Amino acid sequence: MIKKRIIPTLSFRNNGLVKSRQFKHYRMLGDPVQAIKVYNLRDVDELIFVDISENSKRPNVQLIKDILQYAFMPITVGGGINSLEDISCLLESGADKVCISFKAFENYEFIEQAVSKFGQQAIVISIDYLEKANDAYLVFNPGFNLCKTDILEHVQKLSHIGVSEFVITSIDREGEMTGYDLDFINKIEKITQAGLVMNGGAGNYEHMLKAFQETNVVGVGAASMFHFTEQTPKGANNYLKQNNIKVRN
Amino acid sequence: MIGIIDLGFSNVTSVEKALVFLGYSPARICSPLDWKANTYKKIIFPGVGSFNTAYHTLINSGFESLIIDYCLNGGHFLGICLGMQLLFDFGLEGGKCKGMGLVRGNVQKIYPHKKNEKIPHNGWNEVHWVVDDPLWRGTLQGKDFYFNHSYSVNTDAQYVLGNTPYGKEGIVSAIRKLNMWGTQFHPEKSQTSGLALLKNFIEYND
Repeated sequence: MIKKRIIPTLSFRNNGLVKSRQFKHYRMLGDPVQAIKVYNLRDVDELIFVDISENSKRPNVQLIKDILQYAFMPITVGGGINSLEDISCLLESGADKVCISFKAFENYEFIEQAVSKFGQQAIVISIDYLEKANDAYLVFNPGFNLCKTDILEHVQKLSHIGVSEFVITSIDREGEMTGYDLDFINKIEKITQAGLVMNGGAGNYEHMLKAFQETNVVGVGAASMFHFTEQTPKGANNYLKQNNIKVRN
Repeated sequence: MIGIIDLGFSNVTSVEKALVFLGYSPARICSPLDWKANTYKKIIFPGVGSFNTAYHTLINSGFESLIIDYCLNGGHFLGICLGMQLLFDFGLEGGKCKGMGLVRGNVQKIYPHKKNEKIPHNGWNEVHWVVDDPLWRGTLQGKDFYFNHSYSVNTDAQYVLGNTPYGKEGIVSAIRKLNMWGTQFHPEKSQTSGLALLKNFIEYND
């Protein structure tokens, strides 16, 4: 059977890797190529690499090619995707999937064309959200633009046109290391058959275990816990395995 | 010399980088001229995309007859994903289309069996090796490899090297006929297990 995935996420901004809290307060982490090499040595399942640079109107294909040289695992690449040609470039450079956020909100037809041309397995939609006074907002970078919307309807529409995977990031919990927003995932699960990856809030292996025990997510994303603590993707894999979650061996 | 057939499929670079990482110096074979200019002992054919389109690319590029000759003359060949599927008699993706016919069998759509099985078969799944072979050298039994496909191979039991539990009838995940090997999964994306398999293929001397 297909195994559950532990997915370190990497954000690139302007000149280097960064780590944010709630999509703000960026801390510089260093060179992306170095980070990929380290994750490669750490035998990770997969990586998500997103370019959130301030002027990124198109994907930085050269950067992606540089980092992909060291990626011997599946890698999802996002940031600045605006056209079918952008997607084509990234997949031809070796990315296995592309991650799209704003364009999926702005133009459903584009996503439908992308799924048709590149296949369901190549397209992932990013849902970056926060909740304020009972309203849910989608948030788009660069610029931290808020958009009040019915997120469940958005996910449902995208599922109908063929999207088979979403990465759901809680901005409120991002960088806080206090656990995932499992309630939100449970709501989304009720309205789509697509695979969901929960992201934002992971602080320890127990948070990941809870996500797999209490929801049907296909994977969990994490960044702060791998950058700022001694915990590792391998450690997560071992912990989950010991607790009977079917992870990679 | 190690050659990687380059017909413009997206996983050529990944395979090349994986071999470089392992310490080898593979050459890309981009045209029949490239092929004829060198003598290859090991050839890897990575492929992604649709069977129908890829087969026509093989014919139009002049590669089909070169691959057939090479394989019939005993050269070691490893087909990855679509590169493996094209070894067979025919495929059903995009309409019935002839393949290279080097191994008896065909390529058909995967039918989901359990409720949570989706098509494409995408993600990490385990390979149960059914017969000893230098490709896995006794160390990769039950290891997960990375899969990403909607069609799978249907062939005689004698050619099946490895099976993977998915879909109604399971997936044939690795094959071998004489000097030709194939993997449905992507060793170039399968981390340490995949790198070990690629190394085994390159190092094997019969």
